[in-house]
Amino acid sequence: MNGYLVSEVVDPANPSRMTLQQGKQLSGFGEYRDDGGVVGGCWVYSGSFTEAGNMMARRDNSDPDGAGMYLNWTFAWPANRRIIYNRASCDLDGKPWDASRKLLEWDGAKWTGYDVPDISPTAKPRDVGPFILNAEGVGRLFARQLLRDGPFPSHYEPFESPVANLVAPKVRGNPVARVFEDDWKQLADIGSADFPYAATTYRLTEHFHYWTKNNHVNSVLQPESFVEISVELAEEKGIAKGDWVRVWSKRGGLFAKAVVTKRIKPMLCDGRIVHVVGVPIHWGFVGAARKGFPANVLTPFVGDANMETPEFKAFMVNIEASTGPVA
Amino acid sequence: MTPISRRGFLAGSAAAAAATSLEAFGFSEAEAAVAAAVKPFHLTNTTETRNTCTYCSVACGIIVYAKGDRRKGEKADIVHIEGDADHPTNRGTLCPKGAALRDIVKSETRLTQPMVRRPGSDRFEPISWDSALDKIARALKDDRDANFIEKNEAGITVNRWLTTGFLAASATTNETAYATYKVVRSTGILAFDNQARV
Repeated sequence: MNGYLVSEVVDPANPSRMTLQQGKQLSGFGEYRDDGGVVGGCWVYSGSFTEAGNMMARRDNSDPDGAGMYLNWTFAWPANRRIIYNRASCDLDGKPWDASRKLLEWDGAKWTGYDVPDISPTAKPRDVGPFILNAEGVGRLFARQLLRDGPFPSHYEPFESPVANLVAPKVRGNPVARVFEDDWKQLADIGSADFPYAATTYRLTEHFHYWTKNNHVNSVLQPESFVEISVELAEEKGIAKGDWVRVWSKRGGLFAKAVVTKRIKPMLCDGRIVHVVGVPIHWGFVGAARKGFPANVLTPFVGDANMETPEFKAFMVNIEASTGPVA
Repeated sequence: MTPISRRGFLAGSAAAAAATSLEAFGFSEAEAAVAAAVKPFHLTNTTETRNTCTYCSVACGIIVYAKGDRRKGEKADIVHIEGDADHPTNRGTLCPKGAALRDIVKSETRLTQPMVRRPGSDRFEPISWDSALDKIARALKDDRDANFIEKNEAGITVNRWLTTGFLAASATTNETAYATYKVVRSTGILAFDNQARV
């Protein structure tokens, strides 16, 4: 993965001098060539295993000036650089924006400092900008390409929402988000009386996705599925702490114990009280924890406009007191 | 010579210091009683292996302690996992998930062999690696032979295989990820994603 030389490299200025020897590991991706003289799997890992040994096994945690770079601790791609675009930590003339937190500095001839410069070491400050992968060398406020949602991201209500979008009432959800035709039919209407409560999914400190339900200690710490509701909603629905409840959306439903907290508060949306149901996600049908319903029986199949991230953080449900699932 | 671990050295020197001062006062019997009562530190004679926490992308440093010398024919076993005090990311600390890592190694529901759920069956059953790989290879080859697209409508060579997808793991080494990519892409599979997105 580091890359090695299959043929030697001679100094173009002095052909009798060999700069790189055949069979040697590359010291970095700068030595990659397109003439067949280098074998390498992935340029970004070049420099991770050099002639000096395994750079990833280095364990020197010294940190000059408390900059937090730890350049001799393992290896970071690319080129052991710890912060990409780090030239942006300096002003146009190459002085650090904050001298007490210096990463790099232009010393008049080259870039010096505590991190590996993400710019040619001798590129003069006003000649080359910090964002070296943009032709203009600076960051972009306007996204003209690559993103579907741009130039600026706009706010849209979720596809399932207690209220219409006040700015553009006819637009439902993000118009450039991905929703398959059949999935549209599984969305509750805006402001639907059948699904009056906003729901959100989240994780607990004691669990990692669906992995740690197989872990004894984590399953002792958080043993069973629950939903979290406000004191106000619990009162309105006659639900006491620890009671079984049924929660359902237009797509599916689950049974869980109710945890009643002051942490979850009713929201005021367009002059109307909207209660929130919180649904932690960590349970399933195998493992050391008790069996529980997966949260995604409730959630909608919507991919966000740019990254296709599912809209699992905002959807509409109903809730009622229950006697629990039939075993 | 077996290298003495940092903790083994500390535990040893504390016991020695206690014994020496007691002896100076003439408590030789007491000394023996103390020595007999001191429980050997449970990480003495363990092998320390540095690693990275299996869970999130913070990538905290951990130390895995194993007991049992395989060179002597003993069975090596992980007895303890804790945060790496030298690691700049976490300075020895771990969250409730990382702190319980030993139990994910020891989990009763951990997969220890390939399993198959046959068509129409409602349960997984064990299968040997050879049979599992043969089965997978057969299914892949049949589908690829039937559906591989060598050239597109314009006659340009595309070498695509669109009828099979591959989901790769997120918790793997760089080398595994690299090898996975090479294998999957070399078959022409385009639908190739990572479990980190799921």
